[in-house]
Amino acid sequence: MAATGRWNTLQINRVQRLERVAQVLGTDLQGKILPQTRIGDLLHAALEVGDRVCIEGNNQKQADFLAKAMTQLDPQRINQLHMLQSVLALPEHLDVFENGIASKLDFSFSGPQAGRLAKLVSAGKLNIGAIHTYLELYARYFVDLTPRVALVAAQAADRQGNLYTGPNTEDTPPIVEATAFKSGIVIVQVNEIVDVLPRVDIPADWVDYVVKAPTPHYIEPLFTRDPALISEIQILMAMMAIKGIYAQYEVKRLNHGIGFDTAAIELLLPTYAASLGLKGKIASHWALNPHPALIPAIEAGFVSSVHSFGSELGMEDYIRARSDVFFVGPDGSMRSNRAMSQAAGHYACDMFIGSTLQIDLQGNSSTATLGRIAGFGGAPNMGADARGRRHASPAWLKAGREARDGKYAMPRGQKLVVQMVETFREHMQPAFVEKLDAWQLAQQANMELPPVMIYGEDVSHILTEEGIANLLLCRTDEEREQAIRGVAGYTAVGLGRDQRMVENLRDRGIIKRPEDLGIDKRDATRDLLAAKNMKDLVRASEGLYQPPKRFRNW
Amino acid sequence: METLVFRFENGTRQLPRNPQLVGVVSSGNLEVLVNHADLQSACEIEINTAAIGFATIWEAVMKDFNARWQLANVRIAINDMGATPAVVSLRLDQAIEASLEATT
Amino acid sequence: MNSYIEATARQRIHALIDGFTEILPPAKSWTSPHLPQLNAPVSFDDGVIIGIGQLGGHRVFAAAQEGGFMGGAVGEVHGAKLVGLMRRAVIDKPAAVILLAESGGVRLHEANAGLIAVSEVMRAVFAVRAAGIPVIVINGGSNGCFGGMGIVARCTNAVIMSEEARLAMSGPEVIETANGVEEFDSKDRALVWRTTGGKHRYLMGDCQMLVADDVAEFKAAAIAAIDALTGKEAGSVSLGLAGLEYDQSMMAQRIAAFGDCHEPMEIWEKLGIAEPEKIAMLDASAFRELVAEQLTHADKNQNRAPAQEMSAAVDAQINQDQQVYWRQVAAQLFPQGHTITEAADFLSGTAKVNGITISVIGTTTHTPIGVEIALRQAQAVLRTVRDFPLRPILLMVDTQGQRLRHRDEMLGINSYMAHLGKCLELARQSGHKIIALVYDQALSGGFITSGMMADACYALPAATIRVMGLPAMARITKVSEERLIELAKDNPVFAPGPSNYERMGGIEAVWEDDLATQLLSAFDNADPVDQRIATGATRGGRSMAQKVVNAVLSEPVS
Repeated sequence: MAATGRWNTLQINRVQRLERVAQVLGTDLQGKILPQTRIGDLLHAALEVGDRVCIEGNNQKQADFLAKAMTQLDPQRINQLHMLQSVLALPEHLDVFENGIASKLDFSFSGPQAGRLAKLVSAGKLNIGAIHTYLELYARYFVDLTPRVALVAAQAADRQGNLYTGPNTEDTPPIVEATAFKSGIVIVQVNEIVDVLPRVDIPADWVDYVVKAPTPHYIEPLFTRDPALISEIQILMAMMAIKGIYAQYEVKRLNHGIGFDTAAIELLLPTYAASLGLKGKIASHWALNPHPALIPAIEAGFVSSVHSFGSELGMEDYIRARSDVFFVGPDGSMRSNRAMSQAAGHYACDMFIGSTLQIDLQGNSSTATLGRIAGFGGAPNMGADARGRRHASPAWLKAGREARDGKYAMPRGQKLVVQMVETFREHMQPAFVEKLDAWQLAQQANMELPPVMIYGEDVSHILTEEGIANLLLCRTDEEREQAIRGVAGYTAVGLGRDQRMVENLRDRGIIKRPEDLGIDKRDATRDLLAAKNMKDLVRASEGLYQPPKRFRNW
Repeated sequence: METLVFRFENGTRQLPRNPQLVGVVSSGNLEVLVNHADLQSACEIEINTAAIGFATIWEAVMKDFNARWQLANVRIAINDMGATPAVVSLRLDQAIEASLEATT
Repeated sequence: MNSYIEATARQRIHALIDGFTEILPPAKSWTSPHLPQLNAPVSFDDGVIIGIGQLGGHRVFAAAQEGGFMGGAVGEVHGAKLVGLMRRAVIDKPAAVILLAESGGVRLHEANAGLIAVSEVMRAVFAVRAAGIPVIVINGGSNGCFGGMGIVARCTNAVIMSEEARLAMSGPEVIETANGVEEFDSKDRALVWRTTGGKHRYLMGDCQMLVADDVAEFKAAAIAAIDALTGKEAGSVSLGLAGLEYDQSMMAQRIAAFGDCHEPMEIWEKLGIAEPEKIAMLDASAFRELVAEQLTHADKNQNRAPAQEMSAAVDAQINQDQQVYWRQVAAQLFPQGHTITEAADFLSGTAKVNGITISVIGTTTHTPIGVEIALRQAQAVLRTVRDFPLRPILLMVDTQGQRLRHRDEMLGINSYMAHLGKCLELARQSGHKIIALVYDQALSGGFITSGMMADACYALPAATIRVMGLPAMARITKVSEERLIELAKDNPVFAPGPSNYERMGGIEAVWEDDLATQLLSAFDNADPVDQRIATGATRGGRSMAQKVVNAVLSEPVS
């Protein structure tokens, strides 16, 4: 390595950090492994003021031991840190800002911390660089937001420092790669240190320090939905989705957004969809977390393949026993990969369907609410037309034709992006509004743009309990607005419809009511669910699925 | 609690005389009691609801309900615990259908 | 397979009872007079369906509680419908009374009226049984059977459950709020079901039949229960001394054998289950088979001295003033002298009233009622029945309510309370006069099965009688504390004092001045028939209940 110091400043600096650490830890450092008690010293020696630090707050997996250690740093020694993370999940993720250790933040999603984040921003304790989608954030790790130090979590390490990240691999690969290959420092907390790993997910060459945490890293079961909570209205909407969209467009490759609405669809595949003769014709290839609600559809033979962003607590044994379907290593356990799943959802899926909080008259949808800076997560990647796509499929071509016929000289395909929402949410909050709360939030939080989850231009269908509005077939802004009003039910937006125009749209098949789809509302009962409760899911899995305690009633 | 009353004149469709009850007064739900009454061919609907301030929406829902069924000499009583319009319409239709199908 | 748990109460009762004809149907609109004051919606049947029909060729009376409405909890009208149904059953003599129970217990929104109503339901169940008519409970709803209804269930002849249902006293959230997550983690649902669910209760003997979540299975089990109870084994329908003594010894053994267990699976193992961790996943019939094979009986259980149990179990709250207070009261009650002693907050002994010896049983120091002290009281009652025929009984009541501990739920506190209620009922049927005196505190569950089981209950002017503290009530009913305080000022249903209970008929009278004379008069006037509904109507504090009962008794049904 040249000692000139002009073109290899990062390498030189890295070596300085490693030497500092070696000096401070002394014999406590065994190869790459250090004891829990020295984590504070490690961080003080390895970090420098102003560093870009990426910490694994993933959607599910949390490097919680390292997050806590970060809050205990001496702000006199380490400050001005620029934090990069997918998700602000733990209170500690914001404590580092309150404690004066970090000052800038780039992230994607904040979920449970959204309210506190908003308060910190308005109090000037925290400066947001930008709010991203997951894939954008990983992409910037390779362009202009490369981490100097990465704090990650793995299931296990061996004594050389190879890592097994297993079913909850999630965001780790791109984080570690970007850091390691720009002379950064990679620190990992593991649940255990073993002699032989089941398989190597991250090679030791990319890892600098390994510490066994006092408790296993926290994982949140975000994607488990108890079928007992699914309502008749959600079942009616699921029937419309299956018959009015999945069947119509022959949707084989798809992603479901999180929620009870999509869980209802998953549970109707082996029953309602099968009764329509759709097995093998729809919903065969998925970019999806291992939803327990998908078990009956898998068992019924609907599903060929599922690639996952992360794992789901309790599904590990079931996944092992269904290696034809899931992405399972030679050791038998799953590997997830959020970045690749996001790419899969963006480019290799013909449809995204998910729920939202608010939709405006152009079809823009947002989950932003006042007083909370929640961010985006991954939905915009799935819920957007993939303009870079080139390979054709029947669904993509049909949607493209519907959108373009008579409009453009050059034909293209288009992704189906379906927003599925009940017209009223809890406490009679309307889902359809004239102006999204996102505008006000943008002003409050000093954002350049209102935070929109899915842009109206990308939305192909809006599905409510009142019917389906096919926005692809709308030829003017006015038609589009009335199509939306036409399925907005008794909300103010819905009541404000032009009755004649809406009837005309219905005649032209742009709006379809359940009756128009040949669906009898009386059939929308819970008897259609392939599983009505958690125990049914366990039985469907032949006892392999083991729900976390909070979901059991046995 | 709010009480709303709607009356629709000139109904055409009578129902069997026996009262029918559909639904449960649980959160997000409602019960609908359908009964015969001599109302000069009108249909009267009384709603007792825990959700206050939604009279306009109830009116629109009831108007559409009446347009669907045009009931005559029917009194409907509702106890509501914050059901959305979708659930309200569903239960109303279920109640009328149950009434039409009942043999006892 | 038709799910019982998914069905509404109305659907359940029509599916189970052939030719079901409803009494006081929704069209008659017997709704709650109290809910509108709290801005809560009413239900046309007040959450319970009552009526008559056929089951397995037998004529039966039946009731079904709707868990979706107010959690199935018992309010004034709801309770009066049940009481009226059972009083009518005593007259009409059907083959059985079937209760499809799903309830959180006392309806907090109706506070005092609900508390009194639940105890009246208990007395009504005993009256049906005394007439030789079996009462059977079906418990298969998602809300389970809690609180006062958990006690009522165990006052009946048989309880049929699915594993999805629960039978208990206090909800796990209440216990966690009171005593922390280490005491009972309410989010650990697997633990909740191991502690209070159908399989555990079946293993403990508190539930007689365990079926799958299937309407047809519940129906078959109910028919089998009726046949068993009206056939050769008909003798067990009404309460009897031998039966209750047997129950009592079983309950003492239960505490001795399992009182130290922290985890239900430890109990199952001691009962002879080889692999307790596998129990949860078994379906109903596999479970029943396994239990029949593996369950061994009492000889495996160790015996421990009763005093040890008491001191080990009871939380001692040493309050010298409180301990002495009962002595002051006793001195005023018994100028001719008494032999009452106190051991770990349990009072027992004898006293002289106008020359006659009476038994005195009670509690002090506002003690919570757990399994041990409930059993102690029941033992004292049965001893009196067995050894001292016709001796009058005085219950001295001072309690903060049921004990909020995981251990008590696991061992079945609702069953111990029910057992105490049964012993008191047996005493009454055997000719003993029973008077209760609330001399300090009487709260909810601790009161239902003691003070409210007496022939008549009295109170001292400074006594506190309450369903629940206002802050907790405000949290649960989602009505502001200010509004509850406002209502409590002049609404007898909400105000906590004994004079309100007097107005509503729950308390016979408040005693000022000469306690001894009033006690003597109370025994002289003691009436074994439950007159509280009539009293509440006469005094104007509770008028609907009597009207409902009259309507139920007079409604013509084929």
